[in-house]
Amino acid sequence: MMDDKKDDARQKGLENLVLLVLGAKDDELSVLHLEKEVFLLWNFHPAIREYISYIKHYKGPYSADIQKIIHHPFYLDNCWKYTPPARTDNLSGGFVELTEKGRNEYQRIYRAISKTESVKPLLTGIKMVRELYDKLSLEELLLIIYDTYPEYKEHSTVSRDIEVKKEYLAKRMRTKGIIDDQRFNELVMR
Amino acid sequence: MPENIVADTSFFVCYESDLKKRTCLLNFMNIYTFHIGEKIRRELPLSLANCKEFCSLVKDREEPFIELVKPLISRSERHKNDGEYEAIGIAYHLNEHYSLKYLIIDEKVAHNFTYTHFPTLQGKLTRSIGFVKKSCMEDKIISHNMALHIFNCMKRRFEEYSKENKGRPCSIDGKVYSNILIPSMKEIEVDRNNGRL
Repeated sequence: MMDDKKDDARQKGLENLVLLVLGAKDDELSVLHLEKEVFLLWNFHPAIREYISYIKHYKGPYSADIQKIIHHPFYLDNCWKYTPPARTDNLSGGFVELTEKGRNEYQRIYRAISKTESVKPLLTGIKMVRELYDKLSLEELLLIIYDTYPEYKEHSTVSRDIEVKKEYLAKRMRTKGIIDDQRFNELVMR
Repeated sequence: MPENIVADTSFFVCYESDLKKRTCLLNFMNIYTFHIGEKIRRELPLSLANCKEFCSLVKDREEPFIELVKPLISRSERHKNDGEYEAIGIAYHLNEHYSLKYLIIDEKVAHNFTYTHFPTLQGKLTRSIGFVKKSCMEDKIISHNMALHIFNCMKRRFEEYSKENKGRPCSIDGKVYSNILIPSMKEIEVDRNNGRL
C-alpha cells in the first residue's frame, strides 16, 4: 500500500516534470535534448533524484523512465505528441511537443506551483536549460555532455563519430558564440 | 521596495581592495539589495566578508545554478572558482520570479556569455562604471558629486597601477579608461551642470 502510494507520487512527479520542461518553450524538443536537459536538472536539484534515475549509455546519460513517460504517460495522457525520427536520424530519438491539452495543463500546473518558494529555483532551472541547450544541434549537445560527464559515456559508434567530428563541432559552437576560446580548446584538446 | 542587484566578485573587490572605499559600497548596499552566492562569498576579501554591516546587508543565496551552465564553460583550474557564472544564474532567477535591477559583470567573457545566451538579461547587464553612472543619472539615487568622487578614485588608482605595472584596478584597462571611464566622468559633469559644459 505504502509502496503503491510512493510509486504513484513518483510517476505523477515525473510526468509533471516532463510537462514543465516541454512547456517552458513553444518549440518541439528532441528526445535526446529532453533527456540531457533533465539530466542537468537532475544534477542541479536534489528533489528530482527521487523521481528519476540515469545510467551510462552510448548516447551519454540515459533514463529509461523518460522514454517510458514519453510513450506511455499514465496521468497526462494526450498532453504531448511524439513524432518518430526520420529513417536516417539515429541520434534524436524522435521529437516531442505539447498538444493543446498539454499547454492548458502546463499553464494550470505552472500557476499552481509557481507561488511556492521552494519550487521557484526548479522552474528557473528548467527555463535556463531550455534557453541554453535547445539551440545546440544533436551532435553539439552530445559533444559537450560526453566531455562534461565522461563517466556516463559508453563507447560506441556514436561516441566515435562525435570524437572524429569534435573539432568541427567545437568550431561551429564557437562561431555561434555558444562557447568561448578556452572552452573550445578544452573540447578539442581532450 | 529595494531593488535587486547581482554583482560579480570584482565589483566588491573594487571598493574594498582597489579603491579602499568600503563606505561607498555600503552606501550602495543601503539603497539596493545585493545578492551573492557561495562562490562569490568565498572570493571576497576577508576584511569585507567579516564586516558585520556588509553581512547584515547582503542576501546570501544557495541555489547552485552554476551546475546548469557547466557544460558550456571552461573548467580549467584558473576558472574553477570563478563566481561570474554563479552571479548570472542568480540574476536569471531573480529576473524570472522576483525583480532584477542590474547584473554587474566586468569580466569580458562572462559579460558576453550573458549577452549571447540570456536575452532577458541584456537590458539589465552593466559593468562597475556603468552601474555608478546609471545610479546617478537614471535612478538619481547617488549625487553627481559622489559619482564623480568614485570615478576620480578609479582614475587615480588606474594611473598609479599603470605606472607600477600592478594590474587592472576595478577591471579597468587602458581601453576602459579612455573609452568608458573618462567619457563617463564628462557625462556626469555635463549632467550636473544641467547640460552646460
